[in-house]
Amino acid sequence: METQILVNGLLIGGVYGIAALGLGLVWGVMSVVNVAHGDLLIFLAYMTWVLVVVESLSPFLALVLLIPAGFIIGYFLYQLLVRHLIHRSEVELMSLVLFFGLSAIVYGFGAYLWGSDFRSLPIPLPTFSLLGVVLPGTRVAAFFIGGGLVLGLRWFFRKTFWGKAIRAVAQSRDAARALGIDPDRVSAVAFGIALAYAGVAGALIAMISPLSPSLGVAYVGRSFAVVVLGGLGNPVGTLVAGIVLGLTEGLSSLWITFGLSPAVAFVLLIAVLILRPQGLFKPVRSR
Amino acid sequence: MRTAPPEVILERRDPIRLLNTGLIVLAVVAAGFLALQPGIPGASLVFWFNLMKAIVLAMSLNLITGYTGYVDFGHVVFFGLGTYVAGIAIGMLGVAVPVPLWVFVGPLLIALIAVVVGMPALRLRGAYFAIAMLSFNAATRLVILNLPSDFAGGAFGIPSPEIYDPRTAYYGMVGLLVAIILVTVWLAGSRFGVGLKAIRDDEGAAGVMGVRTTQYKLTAFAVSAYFAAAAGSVDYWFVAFTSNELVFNNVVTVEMVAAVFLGGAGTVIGPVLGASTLYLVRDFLWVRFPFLYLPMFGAVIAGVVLFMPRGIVGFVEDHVPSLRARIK
Repeated sequence: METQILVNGLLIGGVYGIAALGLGLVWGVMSVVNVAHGDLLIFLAYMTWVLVVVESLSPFLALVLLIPAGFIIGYFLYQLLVRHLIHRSEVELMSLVLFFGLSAIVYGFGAYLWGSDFRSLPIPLPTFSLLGVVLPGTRVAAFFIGGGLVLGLRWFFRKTFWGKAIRAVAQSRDAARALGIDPDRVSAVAFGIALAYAGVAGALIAMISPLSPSLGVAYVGRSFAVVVLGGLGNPVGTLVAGIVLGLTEGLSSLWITFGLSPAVAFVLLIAVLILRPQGLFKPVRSR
Repeated sequence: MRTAPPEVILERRDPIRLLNTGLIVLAVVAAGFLALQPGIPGASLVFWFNLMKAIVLAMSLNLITGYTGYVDFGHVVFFGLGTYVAGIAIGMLGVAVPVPLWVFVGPLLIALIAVVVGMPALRLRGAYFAIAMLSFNAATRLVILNLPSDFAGGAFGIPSPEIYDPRTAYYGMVGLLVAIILVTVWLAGSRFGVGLKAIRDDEGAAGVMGVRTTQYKLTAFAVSAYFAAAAGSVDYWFVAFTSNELVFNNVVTVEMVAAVFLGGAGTVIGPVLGASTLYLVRDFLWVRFPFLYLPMFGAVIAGVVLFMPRGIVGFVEDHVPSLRARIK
């Protein structure tokens, strides 16, 4: 029983990790806390549902299609909204409130379009068992897709020009500008990448759990806890923190009660903020 | 360089004093109007009650978010707990305390909870505090859902048909509205209020200047939570029912945040203007496009941040300078 819970926690933790990546990326690069992240994730998860159930595509094809879709949404969110705030002195507070408004918009439209009933996809991969542990194929695939993309982001940050440009802007917008990098363009791309990752995460969430619009709040709380635990803009730290959260939720549903497991993220968040506010891992941007 | 003679400074303070008196008179007149309202045929009690509730909730959020600068995305939790402190005592435990007394005393317990939560939470700043509160609301809702149902009603909520008396409860809300207006007017001109604004502008500097920041923040948070909780308790008295699906709803927080920022955070009159405007628009939209009203509230928040960051009050201040002293 314990082994099964730990395996489930590990597998879902991979999804929590990739779900939180976009939040951490935007926060780390432009000091903007996207409170709408959870609702955007669930909106993109619903898009997966539309592509799979209504348009009868394969869920994995839907996942691939959501990458550019997420990128475009993120790119234009930056160009249309965030760009106007980023130079104001109180950007952190104002963007917080702005994205709170955006989360109401996204949630409201989601609830309008898809109602509040649970919706789920047909399970794409069979379940198998190994050494007495049940392994749902979809969750295993989700874990490996999530983990692979996290390592991909790490490579992107270290080796590519755009990755380095994003890190430069995260360190100092002015210095980046002095070196000929347009911080607005780089930030828009970073926002796009964040939402492309949210698209993948949304597709994975749709594959592993039934959807309802109210999941957005649960996911923004989880993502926030994961980012704080894993360190801002540190992809591998974020993945590990996601797994820590998944395991903690699993164990708490075993030891306390299943109904309370979404509250675990909150307790973990408060505990980390008080005991180890710098997170478990080194952030990419050091202030 | 000439410095202004002292009497000029005194004179300049006068309009503010006049204004405060004016606001109090306004509050009394409004209270009188609202108190007469149930007697006017054709007027809907529910309409005026909910308008007052929206104003009280916005003003309560304004105390911690507007004056102190701590954006709270879970403020509805105190409203919800307020309905439950009334529901559990009256509907579940049958405590022999008069309802009109308990709806004002019970929320003191919630203010106490706010102090306990505030001690760790108010050490966080900005987004950390906002999202900690958002999660606190979600967690509280789950805890109440999972409490024994003969104590907190579980998923069915707590009805108390025997206390149903909307006419009397209506006056409870009138009293609460007057109380929070008086508290805010006092606060805006007091040393305590200046201390809170100093914390909002620069907490470190405020501390160095001798503001006891922790104590100030906790007090503001507790008062803010008290009024939100009392609005919840009076609401329980008014509808004689609560359920955690309804009262821990983030939509209510969205409405509060929209009202505070639309009107002007950190002003006395701002949240009143914001909440009233949005209430009228919502009442109009709710009938025609029930699903659009949440996106509309979101759009109001986003639009205010982008185009009118200091709300209606700031907008008027910038464009009608002669009114500057009168609306602060």
